Amino acid sequence: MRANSYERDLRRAGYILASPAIFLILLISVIPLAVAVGLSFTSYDLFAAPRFVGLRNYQQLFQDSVFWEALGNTVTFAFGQVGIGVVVAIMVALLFNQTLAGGGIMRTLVYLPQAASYVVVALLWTMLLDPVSGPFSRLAQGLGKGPIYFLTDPGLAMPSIITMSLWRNLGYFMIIILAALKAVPRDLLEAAEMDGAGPVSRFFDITLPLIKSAVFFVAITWFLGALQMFTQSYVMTRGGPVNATKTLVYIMYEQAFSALNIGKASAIAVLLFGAVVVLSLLLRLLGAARQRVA
Amino acid sequence: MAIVRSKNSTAIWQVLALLLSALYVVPMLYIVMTSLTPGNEPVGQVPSHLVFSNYVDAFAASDFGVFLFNSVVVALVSTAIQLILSCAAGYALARLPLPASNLILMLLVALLVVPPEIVMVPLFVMTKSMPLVGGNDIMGQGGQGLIDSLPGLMVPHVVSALGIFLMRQFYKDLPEELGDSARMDGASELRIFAGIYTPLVIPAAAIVGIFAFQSAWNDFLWPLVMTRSMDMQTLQLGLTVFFQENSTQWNLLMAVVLTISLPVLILFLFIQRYFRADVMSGAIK
Amino acid sequence: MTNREITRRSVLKGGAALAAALPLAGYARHAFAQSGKLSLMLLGPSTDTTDAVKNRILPAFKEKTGIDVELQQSDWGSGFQKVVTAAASGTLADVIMLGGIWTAPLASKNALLPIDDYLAKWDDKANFYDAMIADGSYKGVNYGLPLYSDTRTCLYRKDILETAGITEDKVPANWDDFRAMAQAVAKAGGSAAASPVFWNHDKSIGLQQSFAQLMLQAGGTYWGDDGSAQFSSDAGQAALEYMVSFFKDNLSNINQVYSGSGPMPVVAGSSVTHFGGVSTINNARTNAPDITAQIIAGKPLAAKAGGAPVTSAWINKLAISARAKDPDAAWELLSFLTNKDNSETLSDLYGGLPARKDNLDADYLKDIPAELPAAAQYVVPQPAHPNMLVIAPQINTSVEKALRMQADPKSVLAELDSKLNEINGL
Repeated sequence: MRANSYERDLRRAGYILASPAIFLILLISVIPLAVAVGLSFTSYDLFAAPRFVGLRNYQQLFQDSVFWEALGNTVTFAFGQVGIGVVVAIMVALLFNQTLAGGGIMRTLVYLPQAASYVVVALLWTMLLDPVSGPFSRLAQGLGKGPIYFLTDPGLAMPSIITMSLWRNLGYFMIIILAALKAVPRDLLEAAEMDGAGPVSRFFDITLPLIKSAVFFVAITWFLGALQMFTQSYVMTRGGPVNATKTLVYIMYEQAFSALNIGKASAIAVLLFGAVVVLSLLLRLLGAARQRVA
Repeated sequence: MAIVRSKNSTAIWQVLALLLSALYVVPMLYIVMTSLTPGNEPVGQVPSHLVFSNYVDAFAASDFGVFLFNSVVVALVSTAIQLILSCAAGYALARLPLPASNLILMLLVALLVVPPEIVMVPLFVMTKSMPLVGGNDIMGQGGQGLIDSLPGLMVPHVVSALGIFLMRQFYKDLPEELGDSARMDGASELRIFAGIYTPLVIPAAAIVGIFAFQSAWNDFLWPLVMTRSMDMQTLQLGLTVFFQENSTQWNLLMAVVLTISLPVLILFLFIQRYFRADVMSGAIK
Repeated sequence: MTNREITRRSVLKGGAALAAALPLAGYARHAFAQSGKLSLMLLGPSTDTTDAVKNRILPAFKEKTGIDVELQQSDWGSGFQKVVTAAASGTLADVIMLGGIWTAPLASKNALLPIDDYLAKWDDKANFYDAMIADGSYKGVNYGLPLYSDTRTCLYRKDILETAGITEDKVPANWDDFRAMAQAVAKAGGSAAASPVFWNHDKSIGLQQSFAQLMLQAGGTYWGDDGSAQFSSDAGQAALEYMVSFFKDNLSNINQVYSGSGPMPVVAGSSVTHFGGVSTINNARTNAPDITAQIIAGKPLAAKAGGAPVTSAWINKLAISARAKDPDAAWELLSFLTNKDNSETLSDLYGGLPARKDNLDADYLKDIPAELPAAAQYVVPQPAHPNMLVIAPQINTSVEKALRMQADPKSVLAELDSKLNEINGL
């Protein structure tokens, strides 16, 4: 009997403590997703009530060259930033794993851009990349080449945005890998060194396998975050030049608020969400398969 | 001989680390230098004299006072709410027998990967149609709901799947005995939660709090979408407007940029000691 | 521990109360703001403009009618988005400023109040240019009154032209002469030699606006009788090929992009000419006052020698929200803001030409080259379209594509037409 009322107490406490949060999560995360899916099958301009149109929004998207361009740009941005970024993060983490004078300060410095919003970082880099007054372009001019049009040259705009995004995000992911590096047992490495293994082989054969899950986590989180890029395009290039920096979230914003096509915007959101879900599932399967093999 | 070799390689690491730091310090110094440059001098050169009044001028040039107020209120209130909710739900999921807690956990993990931008448009529609506020009737029609209001700005930030998830991990690591002995002394469950377990996770809660604050303070897309009047905008949004209308006044812009990044920066530096390796790796698991 | 507990619980309670109070506060604020007041929304006003409106114009209105007016503003960049979402949620300001191509998109969604009845009884109507009033109409119904006109014509740097041996009376009148002038300036060396002609390339739709003028000069129309896009017509092709030729022959530089503030290329001397308006003169006054006297205006271009000059104007208007609670009061405000004196003040501050015939002798026009206001007689308005806010950026992207030689004009325009037809549901 005492056990029953005790359990009841526990359960009641659980409801009280958890319900507000769960309710709000449903309200602002789960229900909007369902609403997005629903709206994606309608034609809705915020003025008149939504009108059911079936798969038309999706059909139009798939036939829209700008959609494919935006998809391509988004994927390029994600792969570019993360592909390079993961390698750089590992290298920098290895660097900071050494005992260094002022190591703590330097680590903090690399991490600091995380404190600034994307807007702030975008504005800073717009200034740095200015073809007339920015230091990089001025340097090039000093060396005899012409001014560099980082943000208005279609070939340079996306690489510029990739670089500055990487610059901002490096600190966060580097710290995670650093934490994993610190967990690698010293004696394993020392033993290998005494057996004559060089630093490169020590890294690939011992360290890397041991930090695998951290690297995976970094790659996935970074990639999924990169798929949502909007602010940099909006602030620095407005999606230009010639759509070179238009991403999926950017065209979603455009469709919703310039074209007043909420249905199409929701369809883009659903597609993006679908891609994210598929990717996460794939990665989980991959992780599980790998564990089974090992 | 081994000692000599390691001294050389340490030197190389040191140099590399300094170069890397330079990549970060130099742009930051550039911002500071630019923010103190007089208006009539070209940006990017060492200014002839330091103009601290840029900071005053930049903020006077627009309604930055209002923007500051909005950002502060939105960030502080939503952080407070998010912390309370994350601790409460995290604790419940970790230590209390909640029905379907596994399901809820899976849902939270699934939500971790949902980018907030995806729900932006439907959230906008829902916020606009919130019943009984902002001139709406009970069906949510006729008015503007929570659009263009401070509570509206907080909507995406009042709760976070990541926050709940992280707190759950931290609560789970604590020993059962504490609760058991308190129960035997007759303490209620809520008292055990608030008085015993929660004080122990304050460092973790601090981190969750900082993330929440940062996310609300730095948010750009949501304020862009749902504010209309000038006096509802936040600092980040005001910055963009300032940039569009004054894009060559880099000195004023950089002054603003520095100032509005300060709060999160200070919080980071303050909480830095909690960013210990074990905390981060615990989060990954 | 008991004490801490109590504090925590009271914090929880306090927090809950606060969270509950805020939506109510938001509701109260909104409800309060709407009682007995009008609201006016202006786009991209400078601090001087806001000053003049808040401290002179609106108080004068209050004295005249006793009505308080709340001033709202938005930047140009997100202005349309803000107006449209406000209109959709029924919270649009009573009197709003509209950009040049906004009438059709908003009127087609029934966001604007028809003002035909008010206009019919208004004796001030005759003082406005008919073409400009027509620009505020959609499907034969009037919605807006013009506030000022950003009429464009060819603006030149007199001093740079002279180094190329071209005097003020010899400015080009048609496409061929224009090109010859650019070649002469390129040959003469000097600051504008690398890019004599600036086509208003910016981060917005500047290129589209220049292209619009060329296409109208070539006699083109945007839409066929069936509503299909006509950009790949002969006129469209001629216009685009003409524009591309400047970039091909190094008479324009694709990397010359105006960031939106600071001296414009013609003011800075890196180009000798562009299709510009009063804002260029104002830009010179702010950034390079000594140069102001060197800016002269020629007639708009004709496509062929001996042809009629054609140009376009972007007319900013004031309109009334369809859901204005007191339309009569809103009309009072609208007609007040567009009266002779206020219209002149606002035109001056915003940098446009008068929308009223009785302001032609306004003070602020005295230092503006005479050909600029005179260009108003050659205005052919851009064809309106409800989807213009999507169409214009699309045209801009296509034009830029051709200018960057990513594709040839013919295929770019063909692609543009099919894209626009798709957007318009054809």
